[in-house]
Amino acid sequence: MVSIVFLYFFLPVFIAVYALAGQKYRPVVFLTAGVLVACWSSLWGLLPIAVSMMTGWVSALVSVKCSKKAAAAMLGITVALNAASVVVFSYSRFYGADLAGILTGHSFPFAGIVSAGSGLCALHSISYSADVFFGKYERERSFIKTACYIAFFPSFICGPVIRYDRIREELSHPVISYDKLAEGIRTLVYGFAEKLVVAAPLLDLWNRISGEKTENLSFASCWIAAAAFSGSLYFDLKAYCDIAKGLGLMAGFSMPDNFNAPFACGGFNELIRRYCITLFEWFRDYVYRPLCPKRKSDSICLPAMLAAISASLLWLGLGGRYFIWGFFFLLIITLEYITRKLLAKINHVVRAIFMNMIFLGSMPLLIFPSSKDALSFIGRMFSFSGLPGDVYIVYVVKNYFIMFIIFVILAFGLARFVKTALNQLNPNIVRIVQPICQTVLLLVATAFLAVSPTQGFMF
Amino acid sequence: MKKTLNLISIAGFFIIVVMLGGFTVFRARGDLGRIFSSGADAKQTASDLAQGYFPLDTNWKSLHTMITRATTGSEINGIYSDDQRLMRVYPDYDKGRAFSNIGLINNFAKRADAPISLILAPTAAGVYQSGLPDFIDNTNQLEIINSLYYKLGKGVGAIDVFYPLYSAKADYIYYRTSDCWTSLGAYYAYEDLIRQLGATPFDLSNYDLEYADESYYGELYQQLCFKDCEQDAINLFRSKNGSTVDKVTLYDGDEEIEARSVYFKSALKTDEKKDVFLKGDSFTRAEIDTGSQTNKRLLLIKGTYANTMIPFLLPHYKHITVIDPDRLKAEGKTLSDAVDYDAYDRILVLYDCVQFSKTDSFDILR
Repeated sequence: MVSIVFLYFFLPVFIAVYALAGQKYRPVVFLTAGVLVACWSSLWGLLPIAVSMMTGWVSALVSVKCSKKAAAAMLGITVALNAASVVVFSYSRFYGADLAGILTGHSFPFAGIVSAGSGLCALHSISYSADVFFGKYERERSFIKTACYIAFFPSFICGPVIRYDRIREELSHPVISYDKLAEGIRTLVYGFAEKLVVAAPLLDLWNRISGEKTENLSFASCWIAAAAFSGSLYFDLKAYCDIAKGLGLMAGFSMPDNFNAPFACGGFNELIRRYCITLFEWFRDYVYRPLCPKRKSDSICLPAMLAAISASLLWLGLGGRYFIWGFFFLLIITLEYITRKLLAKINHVVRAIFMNMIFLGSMPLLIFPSSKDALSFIGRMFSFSGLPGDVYIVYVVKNYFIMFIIFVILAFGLARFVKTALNQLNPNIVRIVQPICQTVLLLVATAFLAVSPTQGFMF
Repeated sequence: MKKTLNLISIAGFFIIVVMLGGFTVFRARGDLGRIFSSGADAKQTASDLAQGYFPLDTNWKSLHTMITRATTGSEINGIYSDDQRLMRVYPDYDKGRAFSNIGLINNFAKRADAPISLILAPTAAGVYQSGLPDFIDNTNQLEIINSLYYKLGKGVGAIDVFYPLYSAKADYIYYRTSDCWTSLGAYYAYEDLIRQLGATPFDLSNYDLEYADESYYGELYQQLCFKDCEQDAINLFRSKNGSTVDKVTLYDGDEEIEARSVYFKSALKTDEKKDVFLKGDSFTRAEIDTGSQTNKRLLLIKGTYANTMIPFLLPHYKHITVIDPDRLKAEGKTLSDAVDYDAYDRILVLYDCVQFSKTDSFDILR
C-alpha cells in the first residue's frame, strides 16, 4: 500500500469511481477494489479471502435458517476453515515460518505466497459468524455487503480489526462527506509519513547496530537498538492502521483508533489495551470472555488469558520466539496483577519508565530467532558496561537525535496533547495549520517514495 | 471556516496527486503497453514505469537527501556525504571473488610470455577513510589491496598506487560527485607505475591542462542530488609536444569506430561526461596506434579506472590494446579469441579494488 502506484494511481482512480458510482453501487466498487488489492499481492491471495467470505456468509445464513445444532456446527467449521486459511496463507509471510514446514520439514504448496488480508479476513469472518450465531445482530442479507465487510481492504495489511455492527449503517448508505474526506486525507498522509520518515529509518538503525557482534556493543547501544526496533515496529503498525483509517474515512467509513499512546502507559495491563486496541478487543471478546464467562470485573482468569495471548501470537505467526515472548508477557501481567495495590502507590511516570524498560528489555525475545542470541543481547543490556569507545552512541547522538525527539513526541502522545490544547485555545489555529502540514507531509512522503518506490510491511 | 479549510485540504491533495500521477502517465504513454504485454511481471513493470517516469525526479531526491541528513545522518543508501564530497562506502567486500580473480591472473601469468603488472587502485573511500566517522562501516582498502598483492604469484608484479594517492589526498585526485579518480589522480598512479617499470614518467610540466567541462555531476550526485556538494571539473592533460595518437579504433561487437584522439568530446554533452576518456566502458576492445619512438606494445586489461590513465601511457608504447573483460565475456569470447597476448611486451591489469572484487569476468583469461 505504501507505494507510488497506490498513492498516485490507485487511490485517485478508486475515489473517483467510488464517488461517481452512487450509493447503490459503491459496495460493488469497494469490493472490486479489495479484490484488485489482493490480486496485486498475488492471484492466489484471493483464495483465503474467498474462503473467509463464503464461510462467513454461509455460517450467518445457517444461523438464521437452520437448527441451533447445525448453526453451531457451521460456526465450528467457519472457525476451523479460517484458522486453516491463516495457517496456510498468512504464516509463511512471517519470517518464513509455516506450520507444515515446522512439523514435517516440507512447506505448504502456498508457502511464500504473500496473501494480503488473509489474516484480517479470517478475524472478520469469525466475529461476524459468531455475532450472528449468538444473536448480537441480524445477518446482512446482501452478499456483496457481507463480502465488503469481511474483505475490508483498507485494513488488509495490519488492521484495525472492525466489527460488523460498527460499519453496518455506513455499508448500507456509504456517504462521502467533506469532513470525512478531509479527515481521511490527513490521516492517510500522516500514515505515509510515519511509515517512510520514522519507521523505516528506525529499522535501519536497528539493522545497523544489530549487525555488530553483541559483545562489541555497549549496554547503551543495546538499549538504543531495542528502542529503535520497538519504535519501528510501533510506527510501522500504526502507519498502516492510519493509512487504513484514512482510506476508510475517504470512502465514508468511521474506523476505530488502533493505538492510544501505549508507551505512556503505567503498566502492562494498560499497555495491552492501548497497543493494537482492536486486535486486543477481538481476542478478548472471542477467546478470553467465552472461556471465562463468570469472571468478576476486577479479576483475571489466567488460563483464559493464556489462551487469548497464545491465540493472538499464533495469529501473528508460528515460531518459538512468539511463545516465549507471550509467556514472558503473561508472567509480567500476572505479577503486575498480584502487586497491583502496591504499584498503585507509585507515581505514574515512574511506573511508565519501568514498564518501558521491561518492554524494551523483552524485545530481543521477539526479535532474535535464537533464544541464545536473545538472552546474550538482554544480558548485554543489563551489563551496564562497554560504554567507553562505543562508536554507536556517538553515531546515534550525532545523527538520530532529531529522529528520537520525533519518536518521543509521537509515541508518547505529545503531539495529540498539543493539538488538543490548541483546539481548546482556538480551533481555527489547528484548522489552518492542518492543510499546511498535510501538504508538507505529502511532499515529504512523495520524496521518500520517489527514492524507494515500494515500501513493504516490515514485520 | 472549517468547511472552507476542509475544501482546501481536499483540493490541495487531489491537485497534487492528479497532477503528478497524470504527468507520469503522460510521460510514460509510449511504454504503457508494456504493462499489458509483460504478463506475470505486469506489477513490476507498472511499478518500474511509475518510478521511472515520475516527474521532478531530482527535486524529490534532493528533498529526500535533505530530510534524511537532518534526521538520520550523512550516510544515505551507502553514500557518505559531507560538505567536501560524496563517497560510496563499502561495508561488505567480496574477498572470495577478489582472491579468485587473483588466482586466475596467476594462472594466466604462467601461460603468458609477457610480464604482467597489476594495479589495484583504492577508491575515494579508501584514500579518505581517516576522514570518515568511526561509525561508518567501510572496508579498509589498504589492507585488502596488500592482502591481494601478497597472493600474487611469479610473473605478476604489484604496482602500489595507494601511497602516491594518499600522499596527494589534499589535491583534486578524486571527483567530488563520482566514485572515480580524476586525471590528476590517474597521473599520480601513472607516475608510480612507470617508475616501478624502470622508466621515467613525463613530468606534469610537459602537459597543458584543458578545462574541458566545469559542471560535471557524477553518478553519486545523480543518486542523492545533494545540493551542498560542489560540481566537478573534467580536466584533460594535453601533451605540450602535440598528440602522440595516430589512430584509435574501438570495437564493440560488430561495430567499429575510428578516431584520432583518445578524448571523445561528444561525451561532454551527455550526463556521463567522464566518458570523454576513450568513450568510458562502452567498447570491448580498443586498438591505439601512437607515434611513440619505442616499439613496445601494451595489452591493457581494464576496469573503469583505466580509462583516465590511458592518455598518460600513450608516449611510452607504440601500440596499446585495451580489453574490457566484462564486455568480452558478455560476447562469449575469451582473451585469446580477441588478441594474441604473446605479441605484447607487457600486460597491465588496471582495476579499482572494489570493481575487482565484483567482476566475475576474469575467467576470460582461461
